Amino acid sequence: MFKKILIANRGEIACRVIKTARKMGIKTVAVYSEADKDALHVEMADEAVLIGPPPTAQSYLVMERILQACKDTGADAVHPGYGFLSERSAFCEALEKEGIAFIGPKVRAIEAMGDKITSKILAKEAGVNTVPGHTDVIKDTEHALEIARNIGYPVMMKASAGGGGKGMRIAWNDADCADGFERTTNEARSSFGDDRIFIEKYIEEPRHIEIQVLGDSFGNIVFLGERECSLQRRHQKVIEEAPSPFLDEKTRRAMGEQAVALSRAVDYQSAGTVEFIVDSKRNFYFLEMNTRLQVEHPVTEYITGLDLVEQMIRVAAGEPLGFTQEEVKLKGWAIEARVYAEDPFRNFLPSIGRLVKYMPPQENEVVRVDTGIYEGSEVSMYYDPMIAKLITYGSTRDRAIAHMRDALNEFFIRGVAHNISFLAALMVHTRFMTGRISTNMIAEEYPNGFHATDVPHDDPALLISVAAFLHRRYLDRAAEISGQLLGHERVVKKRLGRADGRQTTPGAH
Amino acid sequence: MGGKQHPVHIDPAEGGYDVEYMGESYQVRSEWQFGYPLFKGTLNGTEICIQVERRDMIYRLFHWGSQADVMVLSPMVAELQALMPVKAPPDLSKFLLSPMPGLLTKLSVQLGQEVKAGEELAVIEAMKMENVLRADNDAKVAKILAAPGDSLAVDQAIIEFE
Repeated sequence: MFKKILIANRGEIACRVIKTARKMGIKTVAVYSEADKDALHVEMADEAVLIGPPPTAQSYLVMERILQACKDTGADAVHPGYGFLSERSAFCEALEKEGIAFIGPKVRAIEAMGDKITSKILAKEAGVNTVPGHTDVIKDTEHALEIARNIGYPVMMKASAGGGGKGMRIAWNDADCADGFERTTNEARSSFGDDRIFIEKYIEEPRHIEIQVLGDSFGNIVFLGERECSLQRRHQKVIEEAPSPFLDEKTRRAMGEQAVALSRAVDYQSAGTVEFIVDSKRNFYFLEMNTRLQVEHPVTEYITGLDLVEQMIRVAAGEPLGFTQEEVKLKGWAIEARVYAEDPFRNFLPSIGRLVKYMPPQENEVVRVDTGIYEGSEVSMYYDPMIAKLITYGSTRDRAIAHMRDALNEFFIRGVAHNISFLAALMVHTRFMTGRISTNMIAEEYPNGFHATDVPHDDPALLISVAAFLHRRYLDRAAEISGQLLGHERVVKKRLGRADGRQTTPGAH
Repeated sequence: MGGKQHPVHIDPAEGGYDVEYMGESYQVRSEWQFGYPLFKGTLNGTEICIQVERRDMIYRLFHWGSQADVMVLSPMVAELQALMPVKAPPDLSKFLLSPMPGLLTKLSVQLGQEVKAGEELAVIEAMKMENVLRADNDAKVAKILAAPGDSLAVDQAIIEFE
């Protein structure tokens, strides 16, 4: 087993990996940029190494700095988390050259799956269903228009090296296509350093359902059920759950088997995710494979009882999987809500600043909070505006939702705008509660954005009586002040009151 | 609350207060003390949890994702409060304001230029995404208040129109 793991990431995922490493008795090294010198992951790790200025291109994305940090601290393995260098085969290769283990898949799998064009060809060969589209590199805007017309609108444009929803755009006509192609190319260049774009048919009413796979270095590959991540806003996941309320046992098995077949084709080791798009008739098509740990992995951990980070570390250290496909049992239901520093009432614009107050709900066997921040820390403009991932569990979907509602209710954040109102509104939305979701649901249900009127309070009497309580307790306390003139002490009248005020926009501060 | 007055009577009771509202009695019980951000207690025996904040005269309550600002006043003060003038927000329609904190990467217009509704005015990069700001109406650029490369704060003016 490894002696010391370096985590080439920041935020909640760095903290998440440190927790498991600590549990396994492995020492940890954090890396951080100047903006993160007071971050939680730096605090939690046994050692920390400064790797550069705040912009990611000068710190978390610089392989040489991280390699140097490994050498300086004597780390014998690197966990890349998600994003940043997690899907760069060159990083994996450079580590291996230095004799440092990469806690993730091998170079070949990352290369094949990291390129969406290659991955589609491989998927077809492995007998995996794929979406109709153009798998060759697109030369320019004219070429993009020609391809889009051939496939037929609507079409989706994606950065070949992209992932996690960044660098994706839908075009409904030629004008969208021309404009979107240029923007996608620019974003791809600045985010991934690779501006190749491809185009495919856009499926309407789609669900995003992904299969978690896990392989070892002995050729054993299992799938750990699915995650439904259909609730997305602009291709960014908002709520994820496992299992999916939509899949039947037959479809689940078919998807799982195809995911395993694809993984086998690239000799996949470690944890990975095969993403599928599922239409209303339960036809499923391969979307892409993420050769890393996913943001939403905790929902799978809840229903399988496994620690995926621990499994990744064990596989990277050369251990075989400790269980077979038959031994994988899914139990109960788990939901994850992503708490972001973004203002739902201002069209979800990101908010930055200091967390003046941060009180997450109490963690217990049904509530888990994965975070990389603490009260007094800062959400900076350089990185993802995620505050925390809130995950709840229940024996049934309804129970998991009820726990999520209570947990959101207690989640107290002040100082930056946050999306808790939006998450709470989704939890009581009939389409969510009955499982009739698709990746378009948020856009369809909130076409003009999200407003305070979307979260009406169904019981004003509750708010009024609580406000009355608050004020009366305040008055009673104020009446107890010492040093009052004898005989003229303040007496709170026995009966009092009138509540007045106005409805406001939550999140405003 | 909600711009409306809701007359209530509050009576002290064991472990809390009884609130009379619209002919109904609500028994609110809680250990809550001033300064606690979470109000945990019971309302007619049902458990409740509400986030509370005091902002000057206002109690800001946050529950099930909705937020309400409530003032609790004596009957006479409430009557006077209803007569207070409301300050209108300033007219910002002649400005292009930065909708988010970010980096101004491109200014697409020049001083004195006539722009049409929908035309690209500026591009802001934030959270790894390029955001295009477009004109809402036809207008003429009167002043340019920021330069490419500037880090913008939320609501910072970028362009003033005539």
